[in-house]
This record gives sequence, C-alpha cells and structure tokens, in this order.
Amino acid sequence: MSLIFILSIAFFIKNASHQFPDEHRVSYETGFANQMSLADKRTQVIKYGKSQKLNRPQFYFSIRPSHYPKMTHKILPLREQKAVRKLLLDNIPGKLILSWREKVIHQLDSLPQNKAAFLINLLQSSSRKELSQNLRLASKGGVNLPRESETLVTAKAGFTFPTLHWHGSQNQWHLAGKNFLFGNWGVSRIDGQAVSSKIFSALPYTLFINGAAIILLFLTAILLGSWWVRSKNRPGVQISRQIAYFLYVMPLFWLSALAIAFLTQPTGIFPLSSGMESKLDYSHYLLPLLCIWLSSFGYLSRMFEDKLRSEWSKPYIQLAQHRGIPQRKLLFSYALPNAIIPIITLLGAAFPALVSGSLIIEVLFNIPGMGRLIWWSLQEQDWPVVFNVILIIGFFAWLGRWGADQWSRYLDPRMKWTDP
Amino acid sequence: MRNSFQSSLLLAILLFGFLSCTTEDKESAQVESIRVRIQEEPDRLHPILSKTGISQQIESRIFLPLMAPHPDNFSLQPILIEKYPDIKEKEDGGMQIDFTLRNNLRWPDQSAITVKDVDFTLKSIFAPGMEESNLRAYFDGVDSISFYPDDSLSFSFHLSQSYILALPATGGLNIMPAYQYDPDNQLTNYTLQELKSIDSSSAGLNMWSEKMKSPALSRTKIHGSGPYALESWETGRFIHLKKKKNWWGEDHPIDNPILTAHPKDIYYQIIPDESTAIQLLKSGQLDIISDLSPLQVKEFIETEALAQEFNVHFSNVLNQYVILLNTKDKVLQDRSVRRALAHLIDVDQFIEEVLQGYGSLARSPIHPAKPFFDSTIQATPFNPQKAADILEENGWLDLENSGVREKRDAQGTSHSLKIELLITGSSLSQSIALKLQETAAQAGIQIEISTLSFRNILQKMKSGDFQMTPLSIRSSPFPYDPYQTWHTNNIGGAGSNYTRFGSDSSDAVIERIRNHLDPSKARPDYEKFQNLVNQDYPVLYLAAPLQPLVTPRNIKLPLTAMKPGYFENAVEISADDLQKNN
Repeated sequence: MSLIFILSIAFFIKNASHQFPDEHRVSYETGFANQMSLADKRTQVIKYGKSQKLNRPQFYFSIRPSHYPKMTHKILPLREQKAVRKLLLDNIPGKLILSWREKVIHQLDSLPQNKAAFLINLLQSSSRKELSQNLRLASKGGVNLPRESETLVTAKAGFTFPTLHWHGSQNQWHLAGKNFLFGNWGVSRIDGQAVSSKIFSALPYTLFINGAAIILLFLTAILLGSWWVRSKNRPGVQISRQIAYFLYVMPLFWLSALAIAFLTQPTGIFPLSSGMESKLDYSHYLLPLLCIWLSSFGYLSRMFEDKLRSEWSKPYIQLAQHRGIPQRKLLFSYALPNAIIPIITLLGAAFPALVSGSLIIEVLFNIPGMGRLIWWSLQEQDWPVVFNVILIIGFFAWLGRWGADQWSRYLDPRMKWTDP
Repeated sequence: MRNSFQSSLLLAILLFGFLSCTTEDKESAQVESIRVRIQEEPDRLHPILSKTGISQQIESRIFLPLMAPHPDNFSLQPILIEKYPDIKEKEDGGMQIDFTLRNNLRWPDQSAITVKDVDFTLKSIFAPGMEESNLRAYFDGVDSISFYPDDSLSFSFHLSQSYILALPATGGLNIMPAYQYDPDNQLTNYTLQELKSIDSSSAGLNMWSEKMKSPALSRTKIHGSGPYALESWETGRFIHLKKKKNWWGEDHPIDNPILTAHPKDIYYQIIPDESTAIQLLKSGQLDIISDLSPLQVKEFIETEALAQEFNVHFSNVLNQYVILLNTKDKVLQDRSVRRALAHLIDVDQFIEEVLQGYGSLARSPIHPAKPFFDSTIQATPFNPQKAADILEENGWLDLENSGVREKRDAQGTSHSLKIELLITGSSLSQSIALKLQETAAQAGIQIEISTLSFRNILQKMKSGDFQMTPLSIRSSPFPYDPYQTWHTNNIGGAGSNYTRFGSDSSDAVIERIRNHLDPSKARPDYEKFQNLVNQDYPVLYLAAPLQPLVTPRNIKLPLTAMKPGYFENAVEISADDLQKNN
C-alpha cells in the first residue's frame, strides 16, 4: 500500500509540475520550431505526445458529467486538451466542441501562416469569453470559420448526470507503475542518458554515506545513552549532553561549511573530494560522515537515554535488582533490548530524511550522489529522473521501515507485523 | 531566414570567439595537465545536439570550425579552410560562399577531412529525428551545398538572401567525422532540401537518428578535428580530455589559440559549490576557477597570503547588465517615466559596491568593447531631483501626499507610479532591485519587487506581461545585428524585442544595417541606431562586468572575449616557477 501511495504522489507531482511536456520537448515556441509552419509544429507536438502515451487516460476510471466526450484524454497537444476541458466546464456541449474542432483542424493545413495563427488561438481558447474574442479576431483577419462557431459560444449543455467511465489498464498511472517495476525508467530529458544509469551511478555514494551514518548513529546512541543513564551524576555527562544538544541545534549546512573551512584547508586534517580520486578511496567520505553524525547523534542518544531510563524504572528491573542480578547484566540483557526498539523504528524511518540531508552534504562536499542528482534534475525540470528518484527514495523508506519492523519483531516476538 | 543568422552568432562566438591574449612575457614551459572547475555537468558532447555553454566549451577543444575569430582583432581567420572564402552576391538577392579545405587535414584514424564531412555535418542538422538541434534555426538560411567534381576539398554554401553576418554564421560550423557518425552513408542519398522537407516516418532514418542521439556518440566515442579527444567521462565527477597523437594541427602553424594544445591532459572537474572549489584550489587540487562572486575575488586580491599564491585574471566577456522596460506598459509607455528612472540608477555605486569595481559603464545596446560602439554617448547621470522634476513637468504629481505620484489620462482614469520589478532569486538581481527601490522612492515612484524563476520571467517578457526586469546580455565579437532585439517584427512570438521598442524610422535603420555586406560602411547607421534607442529609454544601463578567473601564480592563462573567458588548452607554466619547483 505504501508503495502504491508513493507512486500516486510522485505521479501527481510530475503531472502537476509539468503541464505540457509535449510542447516543452519539441521546443514548440523556440529553437527549430521557428522556421516551421504552425500546423507542422502542432503535428510534431502531437507526434511526441503519442509516442509518450500522453493521450491515455490518467487513471483506471473517471467520473464526469454525461455530456463530456469519453475520449477527451485523446486530444493532443495537451494545451488543447486542457482548453477543451475548460470549455466543457463552461457547460459547452462536448459533441459540439469536438465536431467544431475537427473542422478547424481540417482548415489549418490549407491556410497561410498568418491566418493559421488565428486558428491555433481558437483551438487553445479555454473559456466562452476567450473563444468569442478569438472568433472575432479570426473573422476580422479574413478566416472563414466553421458554421458551428457562433453556436458554440452560446450553446449550453443543460442538466447532466455524473457518469463513471472505466478505462481499464491502458492508463498513464498503470503505465508509470509498470515501467517503474520493470525498470523501464526512460531517458533523461536533458542529456538523453538512461535514467537507470544516472540513478545507479549516484545511488552507491548516497547508500554508502547514509548506511555508514545509520550504523554509526545507532552504535553511538546505545553507547552514549547507556553511559548517560549509568553515570548520571558525573560532570562529564552533563557537559557531553550540552555539547550534543548544541550540535543538534546547529544547522547541517553551517556545520558542514565550518568543517570545510577549518578541517580541510589549511589544516589538511581531512581530504576534500575533487572528484578525481579513485572511487574506492573512502577517506573523502570521513568528513561528510562526521558532519552527519555530529548533527544527529545528540537527538538519538537523548532519545535512547529516555527510553532506557523509563525501562530502568519499570518494576521488572527493580525486582531483578532485588534478586541480586548484576547491574551490567541488568542493563544489557534486560533493559537495553526493550529500549532499543523505538530507536530501530526511528532509524528505519530516517532514510528519506538522511537523503534530504544528503542534498546539502553532497553539494558542499562534492559527492555525486542522489541528493545532488535530484537537486540538479529539479533545477533542470528533468521529470523522468525526478519521478524515478522519488520512487527509489520511497522504496528505500519502505524497505527501512520493513527492516525495522522485522528486527523489532525479532527482538520482541510479542509484536505482530502489520503493513505500515 | 536572416533572423536565424543573427542568433547564430551567439553559437558561433560560444564556440570560437576570442578577445585578447595574456599577460606576462616570460619564458614559459608546457604543463602536463590542467584541472578546470566547471559548475555543472554538460548535457552531452555533441556539436549538433548539445545545449549548454559548458558543453560548447569542451566541444571547442575536440571539434574545429571552418573559421574562427582572431583573439586580437575579431577578424575571421581560416581554421579548417585554406584561405579566406570568396563571397559572391547573386542576381536573385542570394549569396554564394566558396570554401576550400586545407590539404592534409586528418581525422584521428588518419583518413582525410573532406567535403563529404562538411556535407554530412550540414545535412545532419536537418535530418529527421534531429528536430531538437538548436542549430536548425541558425543554418536555415543555407539552401544547398555544392561540390566540384575534380576537387575534393572545395565546396560552396548557397544562401537564399544576402546578409551582413552570413560568413561568421556559416564559417562557425564545427565539422564532424562522417565515418564515425554516419558509417553507412545514409545521409548521402538525400539533398539538403529533401532532408528539410522529408517526413521522418517515411525516411527510414529512424535507426540513424537514434544512434546519433545515443549516449555512445554523446558521452563516450568523441573525437573530431581538434587537438583533444574525450578520454573518459565520470558522471558527476570529471571529464578527461587527452591530447591526440599525430594531430594534424602540429604541422600547420596557425596563429590562433584555438589550435594550441599545451597540456597533455585537461580535466574538467564538476564542483557545484563555490566555497568547495576555492578550498580545492587552495589545496592544489584545481588550477582554474571562474564565475567567482566579486567578494571572493576581492579576498584573493586583498589577502596578502592569497595574493602571493594566486593570480586573479579578468577577461572581458562582452556582457552587459541592464534593466529592460516594457515601453507599451500603461505606465512605462510614458517616455518621461522611463527617462526619470534612468536618472534613478546610481551606476557608479553599483559598480563599486555590487561588482566591487570589476566592471565599467554600459551606455548603449552595443558593448563598449565592440566595433561600432558610439563612444560619444554619455551615461545618464544619477540625479533623483532631476527625476522628480521630469515627472513633475509631465503631470505626475503626488496629489494625496502618499509618497507615490499619479496622473490622470485623457479618459480621467488615474494611474499611480507603482512599477513591478521582476527578479530571479540571485543575489545580484536582489541588490539591483533593492537599490532601485530605495532611490525611486525619493522621486515618488514605488517599485514593487516580485521574485520569479527565470523561465517564468522569460515567458512574461515574451507575452509583454511585465513592466521591468534586470537582464544579463551577452554578445558576440562580430558586428551587432539589432534586428532580433530591436525591430518591431520581433515583438511577441519567437522574437526577442521584449522592450516593444520600435518605429518606422528605427526599423528602416536596422534594415539598412543588415543589408551592408561591408560592415565598415554601416558606421553612420550604427550611430543613428544607438541614438534612436538611447533617446527612447527602453533600457536602463547598469554595467559591463568583467569575468574574474583565479589560478595559481605560476600559471599563464590566455584570455578570451567569450565564456568561459580563457583558453585552458593554451595554459603554460612560468619557467622560473618550474625551476623553483624542481
């Protein structure tokens, strides 16, 4: 369910962010299209839309007023489809719109460039008012308009019922899910590279840094949290807790900037990645790892400390203490396994947050991972990459939670597994 | 047709435009390798399909054009051709340009570079499936290419109309090896006109175009007639170019840095963050950084320890910062408002504070360093009182003491002097906007700042739905063709006359400029054009900035007029420093 939900969200974001991918792709208004006739430009956009299956319905079914044509989704270019949908919302009868469009399109090929522009504007009109204005302009410009044109402006569909249309599996959502599952992730809109190749070259960096960070944070939380519980009155505990809190409230980008400024040059304690070193040279990841660890260990350790303290005060521990079981055994064999479960759950769910943090880390420390990839892809509006990166992150988030559940269940067999 | 040629210059200059050479006249030695910071990854390395400036920078080390401008005087210089081409005007108003390739030009496989390769390159721009190529607009004016049966090195481009910039545009074509990109000679069977009109689905060229666009020919097997070939491309990390063995250029001494190949290896390191790049430069892991903010540049100059280790170079990349005004806007259509705004820009302060002094005054649509710039034009002085007086004289009054002036039109409708300034989120545009907002308020103009993405601003500029916006304009080293930006034919649609400037008289001058085949005869028209524009105040001029570059002190770096502002392929190390190092 979680993955289906993530797919739906990613699909929605992609469609909402990029309304006219067909026009964008073939440079409808600029570049090569400048020398083409308007009719040819439109043909190119339609051709691209069809090749990308943009003329399929969005989902398995739709609910629409009964006067809406069933095949509205087949209209391309998408700008015209959107215009038709708005005219339908303006209560203009669907059949009338479609028959009028057919005649206008038929006329388009035979007209000279200056007159064709009037017809393109008509096809893109998205309200009665705009339609009426464009009809007037076209008529003034000497274009012979179809007879239905005037009727179109005044016609009303009247009272209509909502009807359910079933589209089956030939829809864009189904296709997006199928393509993701079967690894058909398409090609980048920017450089023509396979999206899978871009993602798989970036993924190892992010997985390595975040995987190492998660393990390190987990171990630190247990060790530090236990120490804080066992030695609560020592001055070192108070000082370390204050330092941990201070580092936690310090923004990651600032911490990273300071680390770069003081720990790379001129001190040269840590190397900074120039991108030229061997992929197997892990020394360049030490500083980013340190920054992630510094910014997060305080929160997790405090959280673990609280859980451990709460376990420590439970009756079963006090009973065991009375029976003379040694403190160390009490801590590691009794209290710790119970206190650790919330931390595992927290770490399991932390992957998406760590990837967001990776964006800052990867840009500042010059690491070509997933964070930097999604940052660039968003800037360049490379939706095929963005869409699949969101799904991959979603998949790992689900995997993290699933793994955390399994582990928790192993530690505490009384827990039942449920689908998150 | 000629519209496209004007735009083609941008490409031409990006590929091979050069301004001036360096620096010290010391003995120098060749450098083994050079490491250059690039801010982002190129989209691809493919002269027909690539779209980013970074791609074009790297491609210009791998592929060579027929002609390139000389860095000292901007004159076009033969590169792949033997001599300056013959240009003939045809009776039907068209042009014929006759080129002859150099003898003994060789591809890396040692086969000869011939007219077949020129023919292939031109045709591939218009082949079905290559619709996304930006070059289509630029070469649309070429009707056909013809050859001579007894001469495998000569060819002619035939153009439908004569045009002042036809030669820089056509001569800028980067020639690609047909044996690599079209091994089965699939394009040979078609004429240029057939390819322009052919329906892609019936052409049987789908396989060819898919291969042409594939990563294999854009990211791996890249070599051309230039001194370097792509050795490796590590996604997100670096691009490595290696100097070719037995490169033909070493036997042809041509005085142009484009044909220089000093380092054996060039590494373009992808480093998005400026502070990271500076740390890498300081630790000796980088050799050249460009696109630094003025404050960082100042630190390199003023900090003694840094100044001892690093050199800051400035290249004049023919950029101008301006603010565009929509002259058809309901408020800005009043020339007096535009004139008042010109008096509210403190350009000297802008150059001193925002650019840290690294720039000069801009005064005309033509960059001060370009040919035909009218040096008699004076900058509009900063004078808020004068601005207020101009508005007062023209009926803009602060009737309600609100601090904002207003005026009633003939219909009695009141318009207040509230002007929206569209900016991107860049720190530069924010500085410009805040300063103008402060000074405009002194004269009773309220500036409302709106932040949008550049894509959205461009969309608004195209549709005329804007009032003011700052813009960075880059131009070529060739004579300026004002048609695309200033002619009324280019208001709206695909045109770039965003200010909506123009009149019959300005259009006539612009058309005359374009019709001069000999640019030197166009000087009076250029002067008239600049005066017409400046009298109408469609643009507020800010500055012509310099492009700063930082390198270690021992590196001698030749500079160019165009982005990126330097020739990394012509870098040398000072011999003194070499000896010291040894």
